[in-house]
Amino acid sequence: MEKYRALTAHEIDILTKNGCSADNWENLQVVENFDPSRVFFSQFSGKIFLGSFSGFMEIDGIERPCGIYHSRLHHCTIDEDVLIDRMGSAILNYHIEKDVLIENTFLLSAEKGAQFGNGVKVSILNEAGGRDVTLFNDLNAQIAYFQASFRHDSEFQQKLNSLIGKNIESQVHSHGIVESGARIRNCGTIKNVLIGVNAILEGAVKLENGTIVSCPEHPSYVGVSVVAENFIVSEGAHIDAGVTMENVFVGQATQLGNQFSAENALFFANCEGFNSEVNSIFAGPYSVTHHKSTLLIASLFSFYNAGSGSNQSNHMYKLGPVHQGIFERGCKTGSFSYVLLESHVPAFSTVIGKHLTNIDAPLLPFSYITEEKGDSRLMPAINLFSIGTVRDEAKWPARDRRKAKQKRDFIIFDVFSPYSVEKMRQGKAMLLKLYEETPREKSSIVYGGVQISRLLLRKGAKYYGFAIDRYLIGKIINKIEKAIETKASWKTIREQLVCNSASEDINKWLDLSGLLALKERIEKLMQDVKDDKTQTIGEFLEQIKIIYESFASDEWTYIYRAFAEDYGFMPDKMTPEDFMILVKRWEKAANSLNALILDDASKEFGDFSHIGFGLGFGENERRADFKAVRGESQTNAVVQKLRAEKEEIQRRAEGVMQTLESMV
Amino acid sequence: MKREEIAERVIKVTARELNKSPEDIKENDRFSYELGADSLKSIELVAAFEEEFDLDLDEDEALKIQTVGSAIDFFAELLPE
Repeated sequence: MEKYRALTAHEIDILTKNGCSADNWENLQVVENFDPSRVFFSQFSGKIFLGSFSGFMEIDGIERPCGIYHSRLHHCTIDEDVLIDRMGSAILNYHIEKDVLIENTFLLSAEKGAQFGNGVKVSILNEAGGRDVTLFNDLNAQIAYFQASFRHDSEFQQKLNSLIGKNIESQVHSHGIVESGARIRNCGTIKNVLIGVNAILEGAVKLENGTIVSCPEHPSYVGVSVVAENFIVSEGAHIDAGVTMENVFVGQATQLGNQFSAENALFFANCEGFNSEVNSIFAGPYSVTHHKSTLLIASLFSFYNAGSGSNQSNHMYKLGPVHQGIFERGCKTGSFSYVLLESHVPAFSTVIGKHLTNIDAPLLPFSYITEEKGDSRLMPAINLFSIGTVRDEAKWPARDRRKAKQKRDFIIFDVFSPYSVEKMRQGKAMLLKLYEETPREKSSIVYGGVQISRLLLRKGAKYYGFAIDRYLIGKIINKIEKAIETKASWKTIREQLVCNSASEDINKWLDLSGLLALKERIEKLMQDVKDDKTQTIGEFLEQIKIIYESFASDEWTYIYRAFAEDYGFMPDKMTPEDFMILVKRWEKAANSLNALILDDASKEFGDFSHIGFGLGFGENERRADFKAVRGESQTNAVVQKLRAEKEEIQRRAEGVMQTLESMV
Repeated sequence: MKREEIAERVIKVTARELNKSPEDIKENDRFSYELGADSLKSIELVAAFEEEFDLDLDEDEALKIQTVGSAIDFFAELLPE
């Protein structure tokens, strides 16, 4: 706490000569080395505390002296080396920390008891309410998921609300704060907004009832023509170019811009929203919408990509806009796709066309959902060998823009995980059963509101089988290869494959908006909240972190049990001969998927891809034009990687087989 | 199985899956060009061949089948007389 003193008569004289006035100079307190020559043409009212202004600030390449110029301040504390210049109206009831710049801004005011966006209820999924998420500064994707889901457990929800309420109480201030290093320039009205460390606000029109959390490692940015009301913005967020938002949470490193509008929406880490409109959505990590004519409404997303004109309906003109959509992680919706809610689109699936049926197919991940003559058709497992899915797996972790020390959202990036593999195992069994039950005369069946070609029931099961084999056996091979490096015996290798977990329901996994977790761990966490063992939101977050850190061991337990179920051997009980059979199976599965992915990638260089190239010239120029723009299959980095992967599959299979043979 | 029989069955399956008339299908027709099978339809077509001939094809082998004629040859080799 700074030590303040009253102004001296000499200082009051200088201030007066500088064109300043106060309703009562006695209400102005200053630090010992206060320099009145840095205060010009300003008016003070209420209790004012001023720091020293001895430094300079470089702005637009010009060094300017810190101080207060052409501004009106009421009930404010201004720390050292702040530069305030040309406030249109005033700064009211704010603490401005050191090294802050505020210039050419109309109003910065805070009311006593303001909550700065904390406590705002955001109606997501059901536009009419029922799944409201309460905003607070430490909200992350998982806590929001807990709030929005699990509504069957009212006791848990009540206790969680209580923890959140306590957290919010701690955020209530008697005044607003602009934290150190923040820059506020050319803005309009800013009312009841907490502005975090090094945050940059440039040209925002109206900001009301919000917090902009920011940090030196990743300053948050709110730019030109932004209008925001009832919001919390996290570290490294970038909101610019005419964004309009109300009742919104913006997660770390999320980017919003180009007249994007959002109402009742949550965006978590690394989302991108441009041009489009969203309403009542829960956009988990890496949800992306870039195009005009896209309306995302009343749905849950994560790792999602919206094509232009993507649309959903949540209002059937009956009981109101109450219908919800679940798009599991990794979904894409094609240009001008339409999904009727309620719908549950399986993970890593692509929706193309207009769907007037309620889709409900969670056990069929990696599917294509297309429209043919008004009918919705699902092609199971086809996305397993989409080159897009392969690219996604690599790009998400590589594009994690978060630079804050604390990464708020817990994210497991794996495309192939117990969550997706277990769905495929169940999906495979279901497809095979449907195939057996369907007479050959029928060309398709209806499942989950969509038609599936009878022929694809078996084919989809086969592709799921490949992906399951590649994952389960592949993970065992990984462990064996590591053991082989140490020249371990088979006995030692088997010791590496032991699983001591006592988990019972190892096949039940949840995706909590980026965090893949064993359901039993989530239930335990919820029980702890109900039993008052978890006392604060901080403790709740610590428990979530433990679950995040348990993923690797829980995944191994899953692999161990699923492996035993599918292949009939406990990994640590099998013989080299047993495993040799499975290595062959893995090689076939991995090679088959690799060939299919390579074929999909190669299509990007096929004759159809040459359409529109070499305009007005002959075939040679057409091919040369294509090569100049798009390159060649032989040299394309993704294709080369896939070819290298094929060689790697063979090398690994041979290496393991040789070692196993020596152990027989 | 005789090549003629295989050819007849390949053309019958192709016509059914791609909504073509059997007489419009020629051996040198490419599934993805002259017959208009997109990549998704091609998968169904392979599945239909597998069922027709009661086979389980390797994916990389199946990918090599580009024309009606190559399909006939492929199955003729797999299903000798």
